[in-house]
Formats: sequence, structure tokens, C-alpha cells
Amino acid sequence: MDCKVLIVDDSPILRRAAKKAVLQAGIDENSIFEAGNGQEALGVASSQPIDLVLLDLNMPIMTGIEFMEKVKESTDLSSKFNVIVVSTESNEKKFETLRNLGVKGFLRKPFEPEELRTMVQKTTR
Amino acid sequence: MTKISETAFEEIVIITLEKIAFLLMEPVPTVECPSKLPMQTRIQFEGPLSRGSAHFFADESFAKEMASGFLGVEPEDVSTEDAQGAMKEFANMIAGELVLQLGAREDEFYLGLPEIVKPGSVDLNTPEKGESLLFHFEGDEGHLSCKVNLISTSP
Repeated sequence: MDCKVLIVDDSPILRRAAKKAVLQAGIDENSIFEAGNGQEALGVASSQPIDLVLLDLNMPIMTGIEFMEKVKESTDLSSKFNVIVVSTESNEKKFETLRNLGVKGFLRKPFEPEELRTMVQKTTR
Repeated sequence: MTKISETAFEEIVIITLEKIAFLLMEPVPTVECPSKLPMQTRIQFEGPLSRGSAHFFADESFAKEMASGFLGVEPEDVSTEDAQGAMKEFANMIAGELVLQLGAREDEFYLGLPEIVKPGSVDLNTPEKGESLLFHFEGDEGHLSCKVNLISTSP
């Protein structure tokens, strides 16, 4: 599938598990990118076209919400990619804030790999 | 809400382990010297009415099996770093469920970043402020203990 996916999570093991599910969704290995926090993610998203970002919220250096705020402010990045939040977050107000910042979907941790695979397939179709 | 339902917490742990790593664990009354178990992580949380921490203790075989199930690889291909990573992510997930029980859907909670703790640095017999609950689980893959400390901050 011709689609570039960026996995943003401070947990290397979560990124590896997510990458496996993304591969199973039919995304080419060379089209999967990783970042350990929002700041790294901004760097990756600025250097190449990305179609989908899988975004954790609770991260050091730059959180997922801060990343979304930077994306919304940026004329270069805004509306360039879809974002699915993959997080332990459960607060309705934060969900609303994230929707207003452009987040398209939410997947709550803990999740089964099939749930992530299905969500990636639906978003990249 | 400033109370934890013990049954609900046990269910959260069991369901999470089954979901992320296909591990089947059962609650048991006690585990020998959990504070000396080699794989330990801790996470802190704070809400408008309460704050606290969750501390997880496991033997290496359990942590490696969890990482193995999480990554979909054989346990012998799992490094100690992977096992520690799995313990941290597990702590993060359980804390997320714990604050949901405490009212995080309506109220904003701060959730810290999970950290590795040196074995033996926590004495489980030392009384702490607030409510302190201990949970123990056992399965074919090893042992897991959890200590949840909750302090009410409501006036």
C-alpha cells in the first residue's frame, strides 16, 4: 500500500508492536517511520510526506497535544496527514481538544494488534 | 471518586495481560518477597481529589514472557531491555485504567512517565499515607505483584 505512516511513542517496545500491526495492515516497511516524542515527530513530518500519524500523548520533551498544536499552527504541516491518537487517555475534555486540533480517531491502550491494524486500514483506504 | 475497587483492579490486570501478551494470570493471596523481584517499575498519578502511585514487581521470566507476547517473538529472543520496556508500558496501561476508575473520564488527571525501580528499594511493610493495596498474581510464566498507594486530597 502506498502510504507513509509515522509511529510516535516514547516506548520503543510499543513502537515495535505497533509497527508489526502496521505491517500487517499492508504498509511497506520502508514507509513506516518512528519518533520518540512530539519534537522528533515534527522533524520527521517536515522532512518527508506522511499520510498517517499514530500518536501517543504522554511523552517527554513534547507531548502529543503540543505536537498537534504545532501542527495546527504550521502552514506546511496542517491538513497534510491524518492523526490517530493511541494512548491511555480517557478524559472527554482532552478528546474534544484533540478533535478540535484535527485528530481523526482514538485507540485506547491496551489494544489488541487487530484493532490497530483495522484502524490503520480504514484510515489509509 | 477516591477509592479503588480491589476486584476491578484485579480484573484490569488480568484482562490487560491477556489482551497485550496472551498471558493468563490468577490472583493469589501472596508471593514470596515481592520487593526483591528483579523487574520493578513505578508510575505516579494525580487528580483533583486524589494522588498516588502504582508499583509493579515481577520476576524476569514473567517480564520476558510479557515482552515476548507483546512483540510476537520467542522469549529467548527477548532482551532484558525489552522486558523492562514491557514492564514500563504495562505500568502505563494499568495506571491509565486506574485513573479511569478514579474519575479520569470527567476530571483531568496527570499521569507520570513510568520509571524503572531498583529491586529492594521499596519496603512493602512500611506503612504509607493514605490507602495502600497489595495485589499478587501467578501464572505458568511467573509472578507479578502490584502495590497501589492512594492519598485523598479532597478537603
